Amino acid sequence: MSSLLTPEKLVDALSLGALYALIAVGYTMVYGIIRLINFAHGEVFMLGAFWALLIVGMDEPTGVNIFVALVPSMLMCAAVGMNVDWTTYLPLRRRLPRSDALSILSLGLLGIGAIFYKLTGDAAHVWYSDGAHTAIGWGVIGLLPIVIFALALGEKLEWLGRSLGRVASDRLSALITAIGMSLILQTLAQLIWGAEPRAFPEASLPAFLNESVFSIFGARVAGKELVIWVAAIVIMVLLQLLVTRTKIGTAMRACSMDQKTAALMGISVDSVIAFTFVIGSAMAAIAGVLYAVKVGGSISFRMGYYQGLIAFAAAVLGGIGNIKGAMLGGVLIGFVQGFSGGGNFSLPFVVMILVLLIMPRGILGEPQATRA
Amino acid sequence: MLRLEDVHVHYGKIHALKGISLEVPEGKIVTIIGANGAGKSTTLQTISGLLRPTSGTITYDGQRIDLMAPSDIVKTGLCHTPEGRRIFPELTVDENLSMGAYLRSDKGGIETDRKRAFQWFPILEERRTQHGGTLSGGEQQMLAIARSMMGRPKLLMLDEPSLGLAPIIVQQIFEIIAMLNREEGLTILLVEQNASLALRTADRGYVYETGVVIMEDDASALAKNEQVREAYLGSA
Ligand SMILES: Nc1ncnc2c1ncn2[C@@H]1O[C@H](COP(=O)(O)OP(=O)(O)O)[C@@H](O)[C@H]1O
Ligand SMILES: [Mg+2]
Repeated sequence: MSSLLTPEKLVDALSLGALYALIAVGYTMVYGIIRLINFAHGEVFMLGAFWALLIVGMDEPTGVNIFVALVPSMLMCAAVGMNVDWTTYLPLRRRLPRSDALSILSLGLLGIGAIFYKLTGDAAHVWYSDGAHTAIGWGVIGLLPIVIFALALGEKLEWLGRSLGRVASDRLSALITAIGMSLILQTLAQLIWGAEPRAFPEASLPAFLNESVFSIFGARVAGKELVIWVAAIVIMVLLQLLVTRTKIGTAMRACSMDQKTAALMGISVDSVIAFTFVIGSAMAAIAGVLYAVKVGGSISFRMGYYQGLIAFAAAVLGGIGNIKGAMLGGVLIGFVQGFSGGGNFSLPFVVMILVLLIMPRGILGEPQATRA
Repeated sequence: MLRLEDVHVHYGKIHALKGISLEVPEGKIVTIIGANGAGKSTTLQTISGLLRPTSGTITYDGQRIDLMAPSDIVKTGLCHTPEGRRIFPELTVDENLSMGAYLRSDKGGIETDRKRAFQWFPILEERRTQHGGTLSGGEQQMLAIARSMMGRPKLLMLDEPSLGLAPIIVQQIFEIIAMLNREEGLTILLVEQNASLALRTADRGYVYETGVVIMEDDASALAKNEQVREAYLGSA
């Protein structure tokens, strides 16, 4: 037991928990307002690390400090998040005619993405050693004929349209489009930056990050761990203030309860949704940079896939849609990962399923608010 | 000041409004009465921009509003209190009122209007910090009206404010509605299933039947009309 619960693992668990909480909140805020799991959120986390890496120098160090690079990285990720919404989810929400085309397009791109994975030589070993990824990729592609079938018949055959077409045009389209967006961003990152994991150059990292600053229970805490803890706490407090005390935060809550009535108040619902993406994405950028600082050499196109899904599990077990739940779930999953020695991809989901068996809506999830 | 001309609205294949034309003059109370499913709520939702007419025009203060976004329509001074009150259940009474004033930034004016709302509905002041979802039906209707008034509208559209409420509460709410019109000069478009109450309150009335206007007259004349009495006032 003593090797399971070491102080070093506690430090690790706290940091991972803080990072997962930062990501999980982004999933949960977007879900709360548009009832959609934004699977591309993990990729925004990944891009956060990459934007910062570009600024501090991918091959040659530019001499820029990582904390200076953090700000433009947040802005870039905010822009990416907002554009994912505008180009992809907004047409689905409005049921614009082009949204069906978009879902099909994203499926097509998924297929192309999968083929690229197979063809890009330096990624081959990644692809073959990665069973889960393969299964998901092909599984999604397998849905393609079903969706095309449903969309084609939805209009013409009422009886089939009811069962297939409606599902395809609402929930399933949104889900597939979100997964598609995620894989498209992954594939693009891999095409542009390759498959080999990278790290921030030493020159960009202030010395104190790797020096121990103090110790708890005999475990020395490095500066980077402390930075992660403080950043997470400060951001969470600010977020809580934003959501509960400001006008835009109250509007976010109003929109998550009843968008039509929010519109009748003069609230521009699409702007509030865009704002939600901006906040969640900026937080994901911070998490991405800090994660790459903590786990050196981890910056790769797949980092968002793994860490994003783990944070998604955290958001779900905390009660999807509930911000405090996401924080709690993040810390919990951080402890699971930290104390199990990290690197175990299935354990968070086992824990998530166990929690959901007892509390089907997650720890802090409430029965769905009455939405007439 | 508000005018609909030959407005058609579809829900997919359902033709809900089949050429509605109506007019709400400034300072008046106009009511739309008609059976359940006649298209009354659809009319209000189309005016406030939640639904798009398939054809026809809506003008307000001489401005075409039928292509505007709901939030821009609110800016013109038109406010819609929806059917079923639609209070934000997990926002407090105060927060609900603040959302009604979402487009305003004059802090002082907003606080003055909050006090004004509490004068009309003193019970809301007692409930300020309570979640909207915990209020009774009557309190929620009061909050819905108060919330709409926080935006200082020039024209208020009320969709079935009496729905499901005890007669004494209904009377209280209609007194406030009449007062808002009389003392604040508020123009009101009132949708009601309780036709006798609506015709007593309004200046003018429109009678709907399955998406068309079948009658239009002064409210007092409609109240005396045999056909209306038989169909909507429960007496021959
Ligand atoms: N969201 C909707 N989808 C499809 N049909 C609708 C919808 N809302 C209303 N309708 C139909 O439109 C017609 C008018 O409804 P509505 O405007 O709500 O009537 P009223 O308010 O007069 O009771 C009804 O036949 C109703 O079934
Ligand atoms: Mg109605």
